[in-house]
Amino acid sequence: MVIDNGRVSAGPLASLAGLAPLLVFSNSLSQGVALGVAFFLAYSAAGAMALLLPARLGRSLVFMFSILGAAVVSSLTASALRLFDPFLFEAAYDRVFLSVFTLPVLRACVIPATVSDRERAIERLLWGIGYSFLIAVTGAAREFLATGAVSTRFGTERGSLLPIFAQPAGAFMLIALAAAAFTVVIKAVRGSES
Amino acid sequence: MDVSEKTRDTWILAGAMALIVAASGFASSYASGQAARQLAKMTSEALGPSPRGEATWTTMREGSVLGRVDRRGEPAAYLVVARYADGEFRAAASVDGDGSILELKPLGDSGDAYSKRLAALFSGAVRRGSRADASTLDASLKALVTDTFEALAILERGRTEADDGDR
Amino acid sequence: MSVIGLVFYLTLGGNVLAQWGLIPSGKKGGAFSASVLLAFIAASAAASLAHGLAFRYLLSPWGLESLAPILFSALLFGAFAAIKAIGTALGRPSRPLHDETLFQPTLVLYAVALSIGSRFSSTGLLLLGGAAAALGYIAATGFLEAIMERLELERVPEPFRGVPLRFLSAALMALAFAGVDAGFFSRLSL
Repeated sequence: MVIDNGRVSAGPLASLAGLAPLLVFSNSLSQGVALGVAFFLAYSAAGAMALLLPARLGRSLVFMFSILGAAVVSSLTASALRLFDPFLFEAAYDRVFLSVFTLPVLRACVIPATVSDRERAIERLLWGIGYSFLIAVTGAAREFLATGAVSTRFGTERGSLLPIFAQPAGAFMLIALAAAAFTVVIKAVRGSES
Repeated sequence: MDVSEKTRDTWILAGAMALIVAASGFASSYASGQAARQLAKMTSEALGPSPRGEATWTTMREGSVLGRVDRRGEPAAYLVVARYADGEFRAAASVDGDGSILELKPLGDSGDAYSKRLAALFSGAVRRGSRADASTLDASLKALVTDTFEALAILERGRTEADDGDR
Repeated sequence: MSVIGLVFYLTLGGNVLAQWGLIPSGKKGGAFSASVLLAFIAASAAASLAHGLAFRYLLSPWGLESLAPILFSALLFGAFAAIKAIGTALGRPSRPLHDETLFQPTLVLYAVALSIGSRFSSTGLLLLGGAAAALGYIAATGFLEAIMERLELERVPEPFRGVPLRFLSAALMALAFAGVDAGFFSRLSL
């Protein structure tokens, strides 16, 4: 992460823009968990293939096979979701499919350029877990803010508190506030270190 | 770089990928079959069980109409999933051959104001004579109800015309 | 829905930037030329048509909907190979598929294809919807960048500068678009 002229300009915050399509749709715990799992599996498959495929194939072929690998995993996730809850599948299948083409997954498909990049595979896996957790937590937080309760089942009875948080505008606001709070915390930590 | 080795690796990977894609196809087809069974059962039960007990599901995804259940000797049943900003309204509708809605039963209740209002508007539209009370939400929801009813009428008329053509 | 109504809806209430959260990164890369924008609109229309028809008439009848991302990948690789072959024939090198500047357009193309494909089934509406959605995205990106440029001149609290401000601006745009959609479009059958 880079703090440039007082702003957190890269790393986790920049990744938020790449995750936004999933965060915007994640407006309940059930959808958040479904999308978080779908994203993590696609991200892990893409990263693992980019890391394990022989480099002699060339960057373009490794990239293409990694995307295909992530797409296959996403397809299997969608099938599992359909078995689990057909209504949740109908509501979420397009975002589950889209997770393959989100920026973090596409970046994971690129073959690591250096040996040190290859050695950071565990770090990238941890980031993947963190992103997935963020998607699920965003879903739970938005459901709670919008309805005043969190339900583990999709489409069950719920009340109404601040419905705007269930809409895309509410997601953007929540992400903005979280990002600003994150910036303050990081700056405070950096300040106390120096 | 050894070009033949690269070509061989590429073909091996492409073959393996084709096998995995085929397996994904089987998984998708199986999940689709199971989901169809579940949705057909849910729709049929909401409208009262068919005397002959057979129900076949067809996925449609035409606007708010998710699919149709064909029950032998009974009017066709449609599963409606109307989505709005932060939720969805589900209902099973029994439709006559001319496209008129005979019966509409909401499936579950998500409890929010939009869902409740959609249930009132759909029920009011089925019982054409009775006038439902008005709400400020109606302006943004009426188009959804009208579109759904139009879609149901078009789909059912199309199906009966196709059936007549087959005979 | 009429053609005007469709374009109006996909530019405002159904805008993919606001509804799908496709926030541009905001990296200063210079303005795009008209030919690039036209190519993007044409690609969006073609992607919507190909994906929409294949999803509805090839995958859905066999219960193979879950293969959609694999299908889109295949379409993407096929289109990229064709562009590369044309570029080579004309002696103009094309960018590799793993070039990071192509990631966001790829994401937007797939989002448009999914959004339009699930909404329409006719060839004409798929083509028009894809083009209108791309046009809406380009317009919304222009609005967002203009807002961000203007806000550079304001004394915004330090923690909100950068990414948070971009999301807050997108939130206000999404609210405005939804407001126009609910308050104007849904009452007017264009």
